[in-house]
Amino acid sequence: MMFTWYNFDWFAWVSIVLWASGAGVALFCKERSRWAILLTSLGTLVFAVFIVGFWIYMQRPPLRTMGETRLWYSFFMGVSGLLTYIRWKYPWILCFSTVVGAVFAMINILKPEIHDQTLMPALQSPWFIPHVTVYMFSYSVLGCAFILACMGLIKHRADYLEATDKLVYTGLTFLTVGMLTGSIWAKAAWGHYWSWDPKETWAAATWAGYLLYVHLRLFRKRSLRSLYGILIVSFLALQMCWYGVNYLPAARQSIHMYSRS
Amino acid sequence: MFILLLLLSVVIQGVFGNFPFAFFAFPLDALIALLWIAGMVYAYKEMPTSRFVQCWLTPQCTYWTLGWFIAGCLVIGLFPQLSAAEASERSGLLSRLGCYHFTTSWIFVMGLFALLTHLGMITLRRGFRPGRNRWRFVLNHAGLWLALFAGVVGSAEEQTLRIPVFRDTPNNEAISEQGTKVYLSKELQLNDFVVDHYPNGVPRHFFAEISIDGKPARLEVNHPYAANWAEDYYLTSYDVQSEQPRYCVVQIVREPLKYIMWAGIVMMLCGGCLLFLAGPNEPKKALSETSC
Repeated sequence: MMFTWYNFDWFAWVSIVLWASGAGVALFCKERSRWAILLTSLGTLVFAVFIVGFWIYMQRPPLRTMGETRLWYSFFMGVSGLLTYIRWKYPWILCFSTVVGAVFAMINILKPEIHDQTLMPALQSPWFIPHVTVYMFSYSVLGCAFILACMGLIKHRADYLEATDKLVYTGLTFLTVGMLTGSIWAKAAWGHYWSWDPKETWAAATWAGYLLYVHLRLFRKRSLRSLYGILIVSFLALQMCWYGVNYLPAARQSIHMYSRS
Repeated sequence: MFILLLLLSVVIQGVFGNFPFAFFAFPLDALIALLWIAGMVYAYKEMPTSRFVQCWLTPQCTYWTLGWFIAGCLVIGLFPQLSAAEASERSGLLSRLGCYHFTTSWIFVMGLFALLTHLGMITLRRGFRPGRNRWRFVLNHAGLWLALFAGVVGSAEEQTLRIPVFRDTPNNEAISEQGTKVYLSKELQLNDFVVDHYPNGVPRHFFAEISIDGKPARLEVNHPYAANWAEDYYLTSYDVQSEQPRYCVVQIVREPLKYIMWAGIVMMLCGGCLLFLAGPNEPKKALSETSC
């Protein structure tokens, strides 16, 4: 079977249905549900099969364009939502991870893009795969922290902070590794570890935002609203870093513009 | 104290314009860096209880310096960043504050200075205290300190030049980022250039064989040529009009502190892994905060 962009719809719909079924089961079970875990795992596996097949078909890692990074985000959202559910048993977390994963998959269905096999020489580096996948994983974990922060803010409950702390530590670690591997790669490709390119600048702002949260938590400072607020604002900065920056006038000078699709 | 520092940076920026990095070229930068480090060590060792030293060790200092850094990033991220020459042509309050070339604005540089001083002081404090997660703390904070230090102090020494390298004649006339001509002590010439294309005509792979004063060097994207410990050559573009490229453009980067920055990055990578493995710290009891 050929894993081209044209049969992505089938894989995406099967995954979304499985994720939604898992989320539905989790929502109606008071305890951690094995069926919810199984259905969500199957949905994530179907998505993973498409990514691997697409990778083989393209003869390059599908990480170049925005549409391709959205693939990884949907996949990692499934993984992160599942891990959060297994660890903290929030019955509603799978609903949110499903909605977020499905939205990004739907964008790819509704806005099909040309995904050719070309990979420009700058992207032909051993750092390419770790840099992008680590970033995408951190985005999905921090996405879960964002969902919890929104819930915490709405319900005005402090007990989500234990989970957000652990998610932020995990997400921040991967964000740091992504940023540092990126700087080592930038030195080899462009000559400078850091050049205050618009994407790098927003990455630094996002990183510092999560650092601020970690330090505020460490010293038990600030109100719940401030803590959840910082998580929400940091996640918005992360969206700017990922794709929002493309819409800024400053992006015209960016060296990170491999594809505007 | 931090409000005063911020106001001071705004006043200096308004009066003197952007930070003159070039003025602090070697040996002045090395001298200031040594004095700064010695000052931090001396202050921490000899005056640990003084109000000034305690100020740099408070959680409030962490919030201020991180907040200052985030605000600086937002200015750089939201305002178009121009070259020094283009930024100087702009008028108005925002231009006066250096918003269009903010990485060299006194406001941002002073914020980095405060962040570096705070990082240095807390690393000294934690480095001498045994306890859980000491190495994680030291690797993350000292690593960030080294990387930032190399970036800030190394700016005065860093030089990026571009030079067209021709097949026909050797060339030593390079152009700096500021657009001035720089004559290299060695001549570069293109010996061979190989390009491999995808079926749709997009370049798949290319590399240049050049000679640097007769010494052969191979340049390829992602694989620079290291001329010495501080100088690297990068292949940035080539003559796409001709089937057999007649020239390529080489970027020469001189960055004497690159290994210091590399060491900082590696330390932070190790610290990041420990952050993941050990997880969150137990929140500390609310520390008394000195009003600075």
